[in-house]
Amino acid sequence: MKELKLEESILSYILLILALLFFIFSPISNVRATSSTRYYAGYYYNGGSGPQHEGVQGNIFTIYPHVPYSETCAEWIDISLSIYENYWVQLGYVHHWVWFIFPFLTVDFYVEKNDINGRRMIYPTILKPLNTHTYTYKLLLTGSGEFSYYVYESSNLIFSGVINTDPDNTVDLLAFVETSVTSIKIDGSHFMYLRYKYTGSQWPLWDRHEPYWDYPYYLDQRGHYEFAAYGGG
Amino acid sequence: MINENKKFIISLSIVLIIFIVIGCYQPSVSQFTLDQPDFYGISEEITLEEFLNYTSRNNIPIHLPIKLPTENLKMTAIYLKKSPFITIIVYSEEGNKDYKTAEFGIEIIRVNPDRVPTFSDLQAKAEKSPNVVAKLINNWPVIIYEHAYNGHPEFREKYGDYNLIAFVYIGQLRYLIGAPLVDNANDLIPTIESMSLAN
Repeated sequence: MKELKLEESILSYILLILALLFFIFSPISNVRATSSTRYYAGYYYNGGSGPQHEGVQGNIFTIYPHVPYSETCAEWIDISLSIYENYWVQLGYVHHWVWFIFPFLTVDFYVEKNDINGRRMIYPTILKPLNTHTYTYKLLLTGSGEFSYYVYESSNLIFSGVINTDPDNTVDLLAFVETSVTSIKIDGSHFMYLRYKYTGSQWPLWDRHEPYWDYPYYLDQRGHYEFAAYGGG
Repeated sequence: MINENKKFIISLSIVLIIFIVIGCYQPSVSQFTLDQPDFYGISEEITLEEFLNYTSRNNIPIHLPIKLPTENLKMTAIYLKKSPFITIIVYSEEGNKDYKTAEFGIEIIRVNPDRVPTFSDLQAKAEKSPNVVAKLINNWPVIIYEHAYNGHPEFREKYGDYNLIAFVYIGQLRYLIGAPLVDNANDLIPTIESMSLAN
């Protein structure tokens, strides 16, 4: 009787280990297969042939799409610092997977930059962007190599901060939805009141735009400073 | 009964430890990278003649190097976005037209007049960082980074994470020169010295 119990317990350990091994290794291969692909839908400001802009602002409606394991979906505004070297600074919110004993899908506000010194991503607050809420995101050059960021809901400041970049010359302004896999359905994405800044304190609405989307995503171009994005799934 | 409880606690602890270890070794899930769309979707590929005509018509003086880091480098592509003005000129020994992976390239953008750095600005920056050199070449402020991170995954796969780049400020234009096969700043200086008005 005792021997039988011992065998049962050994068997259950073996099964547990097998289940864990399967759990560990199957998602890793999935991550590696999908990590480098990106799909986009959104606007470039297309800001004329004059001097460069120094800030971008926009209202983004928050959506909670289904995001498969290890995949990601983000909505952001961005200032491009070099196309050739792929340098930029970005502010928005992102759905992503994290591990804390188990894998969890979470959503965070974030600021990210890619520059001469490398890549840096910051989650500036523990507060989460809430589903169906609209937040105002503002990103602007405020000093040599220094970009300030602000996120508001209505007129209430949720968080703000500073991120340093090198270089700091602005090349273009962008507002996009980004996914890592086309099975993420982005219906409901909505960017409004996109604004730019040259110098001074004025924030004019975008008065031109250049649309861009990757199949199977599409844009509903409601004006120079407003668009909805949909598709995928 | 005590033995059963002990067994249960030990089993639970083992499972928890395994999950924590897995969590620690799963960086690929949380270390995702966001990006921005590449330049091909929003720019047009044009010839050198078309580029020089466009920049002449729009009073944009363009300086291009006569001497390249290696003799076999040839201009393979020019990508232009007119608004805002962004140009990428690609050079390659292999006929590569991809600005992300070619052996040499120049990006030209406009800079706000009050954002054009002086030579002393660049010197102050270079003094703070190793592998950064500031020079005044042909009276143009120049800063060369011998160890600059490149943001393109395709580039990093081919050359590694870092490359040598230079920023040359001529008038209100910023020329970003990327030279992954050049090892040090001194080897790029003759190329910058040879930049002359092309239109």
